[in-house]
Amino acid sequence: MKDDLLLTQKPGTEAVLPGNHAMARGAVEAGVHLVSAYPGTPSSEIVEALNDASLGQGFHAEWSTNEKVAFDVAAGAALVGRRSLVAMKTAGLSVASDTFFTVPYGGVKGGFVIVVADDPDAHFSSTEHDSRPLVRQAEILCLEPADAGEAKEMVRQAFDLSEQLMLPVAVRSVARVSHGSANVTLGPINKLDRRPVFNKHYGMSYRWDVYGAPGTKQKHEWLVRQFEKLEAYADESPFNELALTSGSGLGVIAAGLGSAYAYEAIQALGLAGQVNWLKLGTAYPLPPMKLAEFLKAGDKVLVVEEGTNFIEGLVREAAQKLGVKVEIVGKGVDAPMPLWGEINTDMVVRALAPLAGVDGLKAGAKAGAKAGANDAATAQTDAARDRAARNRAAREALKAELEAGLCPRSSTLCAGCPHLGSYWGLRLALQKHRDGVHILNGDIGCYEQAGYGLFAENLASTEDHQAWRAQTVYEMLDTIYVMGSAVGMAQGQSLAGYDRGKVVAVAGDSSFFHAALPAVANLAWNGGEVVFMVLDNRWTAMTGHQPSPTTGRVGNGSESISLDIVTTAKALGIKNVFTADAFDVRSVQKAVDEAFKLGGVSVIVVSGECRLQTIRREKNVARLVTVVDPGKCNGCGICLQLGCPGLGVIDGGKQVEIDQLQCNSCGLCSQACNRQAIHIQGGAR
Amino acid sequence: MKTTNVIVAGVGGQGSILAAHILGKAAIREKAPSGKPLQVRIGETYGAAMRGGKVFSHVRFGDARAPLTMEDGAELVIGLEPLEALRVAIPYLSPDGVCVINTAQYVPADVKMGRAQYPATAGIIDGLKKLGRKVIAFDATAAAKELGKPQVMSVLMLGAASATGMLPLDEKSLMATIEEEAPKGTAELNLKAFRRGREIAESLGGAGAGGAGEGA
Repeated sequence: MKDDLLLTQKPGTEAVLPGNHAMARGAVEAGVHLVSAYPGTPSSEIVEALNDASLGQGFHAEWSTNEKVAFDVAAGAALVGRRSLVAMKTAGLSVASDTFFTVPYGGVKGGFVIVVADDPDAHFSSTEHDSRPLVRQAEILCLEPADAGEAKEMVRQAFDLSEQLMLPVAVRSVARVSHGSANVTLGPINKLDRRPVFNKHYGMSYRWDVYGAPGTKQKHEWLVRQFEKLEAYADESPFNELALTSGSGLGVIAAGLGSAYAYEAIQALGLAGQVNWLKLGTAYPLPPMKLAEFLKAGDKVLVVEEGTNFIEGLVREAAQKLGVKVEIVGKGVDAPMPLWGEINTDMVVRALAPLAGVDGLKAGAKAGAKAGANDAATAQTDAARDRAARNRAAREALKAELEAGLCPRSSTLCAGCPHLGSYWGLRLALQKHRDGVHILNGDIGCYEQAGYGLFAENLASTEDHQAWRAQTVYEMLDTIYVMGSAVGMAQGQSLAGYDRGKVVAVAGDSSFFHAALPAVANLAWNGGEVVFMVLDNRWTAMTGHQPSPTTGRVGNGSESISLDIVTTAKALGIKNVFTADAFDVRSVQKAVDEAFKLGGVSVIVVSGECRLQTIRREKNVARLVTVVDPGKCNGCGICLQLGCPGLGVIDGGKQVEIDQLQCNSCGLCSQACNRQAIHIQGGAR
Repeated sequence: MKTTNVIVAGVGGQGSILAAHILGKAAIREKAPSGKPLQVRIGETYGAAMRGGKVFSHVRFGDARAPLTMEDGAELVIGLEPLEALRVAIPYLSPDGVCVINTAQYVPADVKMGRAQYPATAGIIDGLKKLGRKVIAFDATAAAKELGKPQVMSVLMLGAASATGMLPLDEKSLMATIEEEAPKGTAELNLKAFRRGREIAESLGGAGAGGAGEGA
């Protein structure tokens, strides 16, 4: 991003921006006073950009320890009348949901905007969870942008809307809106000179205290009665667009990104101007009057949306209430648009063509074979149609053949990653317990890749208590769910009496402070036989190297304290706390050995900074070179099991080679080698 | 108006996202018939890895709304890496499409660890020829190294792509954008790489490859 995007760019400037930067700009244009977030792909760049701009623009921005805390911080600002924004990924809304469901009971004074970036297709996430049903449960407005330009406008206007409705406003993005770029016209930056104020009985007694008189139920009643204002807004929202065509019984309702795919599908099918069209920018509530007009105008509706069939359900409810007989088609298990993954234009074409009674062939013209690509579009005769069909079949066969010849490109840790050393040390320690069926519980962060496996292998399911021999670090982790879950799950396995192997949990430094703290306290309090390894690389690396509580810096780059995990674990009641160096595998092995020997509960803090960050900062480290001694290397391949992408084989597997473009000279491969064949030149690490 | 769909395919760390954004930002310098800047959409697909993962950027010019190209809809595939060029061309390359690829392999960890085999480059080029209309293939990494910096490979590939005539962007718009977007102190080298890419593609018969191309 251009540094000046959020600081000086003149109104009227045309830019091509990713949705996340566009939303950040929208917040600045609205005069935001405070922003907070915990990093989570695909949402991280919003508050990253706002952190970078915060000193120049004079507002507070922060990376908080988790999304619940970020939410509380932003809500606090809104209660004293200032404008705030909190951003998170889908999983973050689950973490923040306690406050999220409660704040609407008294509402807010300052504009409070909650940006949630969902991840249909789970490109970067544990689930494909759809945030919109949660927003409905919170009974607040949900906007859903189709692209970066609309995303900027929605965030900007959401602050005004929030203040008019006196409620938080949610903006639901998806990965392809957050990371996709589009034209954005920049608007003026507003600086709001608002003094924070507090009035505990502002327009309602004990407004900010759900238990205060008149009581929780009465505050819920206030919230429910606000709903008609939300609906009134939806009907006049500039983000909803109704276009009826006379005589067509078919209509398309499309929300957010779904409207972009639906627009293109209608064009591709040659149906422009021939179907009724309701484009939705408010995912909740739907505009009641516009929707009624739309539903009464036809007898068939296709609903196009990204995520679950949330809008489809709302449309069915509306049709039932209105008593309109209309066929509603949306997502399904075996439908052209399935209930998992993400959609695209081709899927919408396949869903829409049969409803429109359009020859699907015409739609699929471009899918024709090379020789007769456009035959289908002009096919007038049966012979021409046959030829087009044959060409298509030939092209599909060609694609299948080429697809079969592709090789996978599995995700790996970076060359020089400290997690490689942590896992290698753990693996060495576990080798002394060969007969065990160990359970290694993972968490969310770069180190989760130790549970990705290498996808070239086909795995079959097996009987109970089968010991899997990990051939590389990428086959080590056995369970991965969400942030902070590893510790509690490990404890549960142990307390359930699992004794066929060791029970281990791992989590990073950022995860430790995000959601592992209560679990560590529980571990000390309720006991078990668990070794918990904290892999402290000093950054929230996976989401783009945001500072973590151990970095010693805050989001805008200023210095802060560096929280100490050892002291924290001890303060939480853990008696056996070990330390190890991730770049010294023997130290990791030794600590794990000792923890196993002691039994009970142990925490091992394995330190080693993310190598990419060290290299960026320290030129003398970047200058080190690692070499293989061809006289000593016999190609045994043990070092390859380390899983470093800087290592590879040459000479038909007889020799190991180091890819100098990737190698970061961490020295881990030389420790993995049994023949002292790998050396670092330019001094020891 | 006509839509032109371009996909940049590569591996994390090769500069494919920068290349896609240079294409997208160059569009602001072009005027559409409406008098407004040429509209553009960029849709990106990348994995969780910081480095070494597949990266695909769909850059769509004109009347596009969606971040992704339709199946068989890409008029131009710019492959910074042969395997990833083929991976993205199978679903997306138009039968009328042109493919410009760097033949230098970025070998996946699966292959390095002996779990998979990298397909032969000749087979990849042959597959691309069958899928589309024309392939321009050369070792862009070697060409970039000759200029002194392998990192300029992605901009060199943009030069080659511009020689095909498939981009709705003037050479001058592209060069002005490169100058603006290049990391500090590297503008001259990047422009040199762009020109070198153009020369190579022209020498391989890539000039005007778009002449007979048909837009979506």
